[in-house]
Amino acid sequence: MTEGILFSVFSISAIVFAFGVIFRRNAVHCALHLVGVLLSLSGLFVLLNAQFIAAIQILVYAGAIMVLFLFVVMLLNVKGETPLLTPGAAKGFGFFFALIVFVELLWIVLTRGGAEGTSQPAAALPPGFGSPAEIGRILYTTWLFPFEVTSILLLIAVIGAVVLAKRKFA
Amino acid sequence: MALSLFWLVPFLPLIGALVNGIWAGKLPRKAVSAIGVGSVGLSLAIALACFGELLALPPESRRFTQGLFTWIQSGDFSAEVRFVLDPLSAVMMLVVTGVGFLIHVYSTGYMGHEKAYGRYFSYLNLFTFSMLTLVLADNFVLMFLGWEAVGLCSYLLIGFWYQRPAAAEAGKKAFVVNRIGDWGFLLGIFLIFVTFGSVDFATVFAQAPQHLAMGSAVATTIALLLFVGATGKSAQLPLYVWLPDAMEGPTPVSALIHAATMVTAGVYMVARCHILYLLSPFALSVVAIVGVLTALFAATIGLVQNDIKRVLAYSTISQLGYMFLGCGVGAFTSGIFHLMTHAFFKALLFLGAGSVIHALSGEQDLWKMGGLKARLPKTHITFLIATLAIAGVFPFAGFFSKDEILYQAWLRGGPLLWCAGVIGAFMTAFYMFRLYFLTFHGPSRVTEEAKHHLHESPSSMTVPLMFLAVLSAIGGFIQVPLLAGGQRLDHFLEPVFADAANLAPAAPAAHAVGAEVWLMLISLAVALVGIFVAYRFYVADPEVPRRLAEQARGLYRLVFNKYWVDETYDSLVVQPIYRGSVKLWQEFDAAVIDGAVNGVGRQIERGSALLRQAQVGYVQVYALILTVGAVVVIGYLALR
Amino acid sequence: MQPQGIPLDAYQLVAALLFTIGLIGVLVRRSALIIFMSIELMLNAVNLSFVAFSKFHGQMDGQIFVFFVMSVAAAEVAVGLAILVAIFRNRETASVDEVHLLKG
Repeated sequence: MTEGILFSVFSISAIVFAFGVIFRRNAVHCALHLVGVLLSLSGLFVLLNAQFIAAIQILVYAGAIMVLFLFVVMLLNVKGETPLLTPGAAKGFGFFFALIVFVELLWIVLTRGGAEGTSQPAAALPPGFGSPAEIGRILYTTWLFPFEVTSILLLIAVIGAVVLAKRKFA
Repeated sequence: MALSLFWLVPFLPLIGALVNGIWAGKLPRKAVSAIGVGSVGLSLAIALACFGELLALPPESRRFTQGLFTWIQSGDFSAEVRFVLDPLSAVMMLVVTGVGFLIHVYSTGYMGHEKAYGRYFSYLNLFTFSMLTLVLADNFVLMFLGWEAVGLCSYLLIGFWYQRPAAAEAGKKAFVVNRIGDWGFLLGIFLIFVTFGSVDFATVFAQAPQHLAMGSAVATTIALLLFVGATGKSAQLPLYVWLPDAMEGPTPVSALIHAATMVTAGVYMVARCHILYLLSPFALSVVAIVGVLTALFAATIGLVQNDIKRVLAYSTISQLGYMFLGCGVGAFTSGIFHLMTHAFFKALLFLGAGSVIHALSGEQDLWKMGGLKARLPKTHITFLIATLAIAGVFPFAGFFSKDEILYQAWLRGGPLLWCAGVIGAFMTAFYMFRLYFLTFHGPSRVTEEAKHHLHESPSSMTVPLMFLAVLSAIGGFIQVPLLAGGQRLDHFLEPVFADAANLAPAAPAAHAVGAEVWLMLISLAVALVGIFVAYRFYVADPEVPRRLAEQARGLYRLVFNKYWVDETYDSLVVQPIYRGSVKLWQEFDAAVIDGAVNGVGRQIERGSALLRQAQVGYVQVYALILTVGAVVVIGYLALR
Repeated sequence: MQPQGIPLDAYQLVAALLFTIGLIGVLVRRSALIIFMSIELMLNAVNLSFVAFSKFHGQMDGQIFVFFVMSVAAAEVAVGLAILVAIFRNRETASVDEVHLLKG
């Protein structure tokens, strides 16, 4: 019961905030709406027994990435542009194909959904499911290699960001 | 054993050519001379030693071969690099190395002031190598290699002063006309291979009587095709036109290549392939007729030329005709004999002319010479000996060889051929002594400034002249008719021509000794008359030739302009080819081929321009296209 | 009785919807920054989908994948914004309509 209410609340807020992201004129407003989406999703994660991920979502996504976004918005002093959307036929095509994508995804969900019998949650999740201990255990055994590679990736990203955004002194 | 070094005879000059060719720029002039002359000198020494050893062998076994390596090996066909030393090739080898050596020595003096000294000697050595390969080859393919190579060297040396347009043109002309002859020669070789399955001399000549019926079409075709090559290389009708123009080259080159050696290659080839010619009487008579016609034709032109070298050039063509006449009546030995003596006195004549030209600082016009007897004694005396030899005056070399040919012509060819030969002999004596008198006798017509530098040539030039004079004087004695044991050359060459014994046109065995003596006396008389007439025309009464020229103006003009043969060839052959080439170039190459290639390029460009329109540059358009792609893929996965 | 719980399909529908909204944002907005944010929206929708699957299969692998997606998203945002800053400094505009140098 409570689960259903919580689900509805978080879902609807996520969707509303999402529409706000793409339809607001002011860039700061868009960013804040995105933060709202992230927080709603975080709530959904908790419902899905992914506590660690939920916490990380808030810390990393909402706390670091969005802060970075806001920094850039303020640095560039981006004003709201006058025509909000892309002019011309591209707008129409854009909406059209995105809608097609949604229809297709809908179709997949509705026709495949019940067939595998996963409409109901699996019986009795193992204890510690979604806990940091569990994540740590799997991350450093089965998924060690991607973990290391990701760390290199982050290093490259850091260097790249610094080099690209530097003012040229020459 | 000298014979084991036999292969060095052609290869030493090749090494000399390479060394001089590569390093001449860095070597002092003396070193270049030493290498150039020394390589041929060494070659001559080895050649003489080999000849000595050959003589030591009994006559039947005088055939020595030395192979170096297999050049081509393909299926059933193989061509070796192998040299053969038998009496015929020995004679040729000695002529080439001997006369060649003397001319190399002469060149050190004549070309002493030449800037491209090293290049000259490199080419000259290369020529010697090529000619030796030609005469010493043991099979048709190697001989053809030498054949082509001498043609190449001829081109290089005629056009030696290539900055002069006339010289460059002359070199080109020589090469192209030679090529036409070579085409015939090559076809002949192909036919030989198809018929005999081999190109070795030994194999082909041994099997010839069985494979080819007497007078068969195959034999005739082979012989005639090979003869086409000979007409090109040995400047007979109709492919003689390159030889007079070849006088643009340095005079020692004219002496070596266009008198003594390269042009004789055709005669050697006919002698070497005598079996094939004897098997086709028709081809043999073609050889004789072409020879005698060329002899007469060239002699008439030589009567009125005014350039000292041109006269000698036409004289060479004429004398070559005599050699072919000798071979053409089946008397191959006489042809080779005349080849040998001609090498002596013609080389001497050219070198002597070179000495005169050198003394007059480059003057070649006969009408600007005269009275040089006193100022150029050594040149004069050697030149006189050579002129007497070529005119056929006893006891000089030319008398014996020319007389031999005329006698054989009478004996085997009939009175008509003999008569034509005698007329030619008269003209030879006449124009050669015209040359001699105009150059050395009479009032001096030399220009003032040439007179200042007039001097006898250095010993590097006069000593070879003297050697050649001695040879021209006594060289004839190796083949003295009627004298018992006098026919040394005949005996020497006999093993080579022995296999033709049953094929040769029947020479009347018992010939009256008297007939031979009478014919000899007639030849001698004709020569003396010719000399006398020349004396009257150009020394005693110089107005006579001028009056004659006026009276027979048309005839004079015809002969003076060389019967307009060059002009005819030009309009009939050269111009159409040239125009055709230009047409091909402009219409086909430029329009069609270039058009196609460029057209392909243009089409690709157009296609690219079309495709380029997809690169709009707007990121959102790209994202849209991505979305469309995603739609397709998801749709496919959804419906599967 | 065992409570019914939210069916998987519900989560998937929400994720699909969020994804489509993000896609619309990418295709029709003019500001590069907003387009970036829409991309983040799409990534988050995918995260939701993964976590839902993870729970309904009872395996942690989905959540690990979300972990990696997040790190990659962080790296991508850092670099992307750096590029954006560089472009903006040169051109005074962040509108994608006016940045089309690769045309043709």
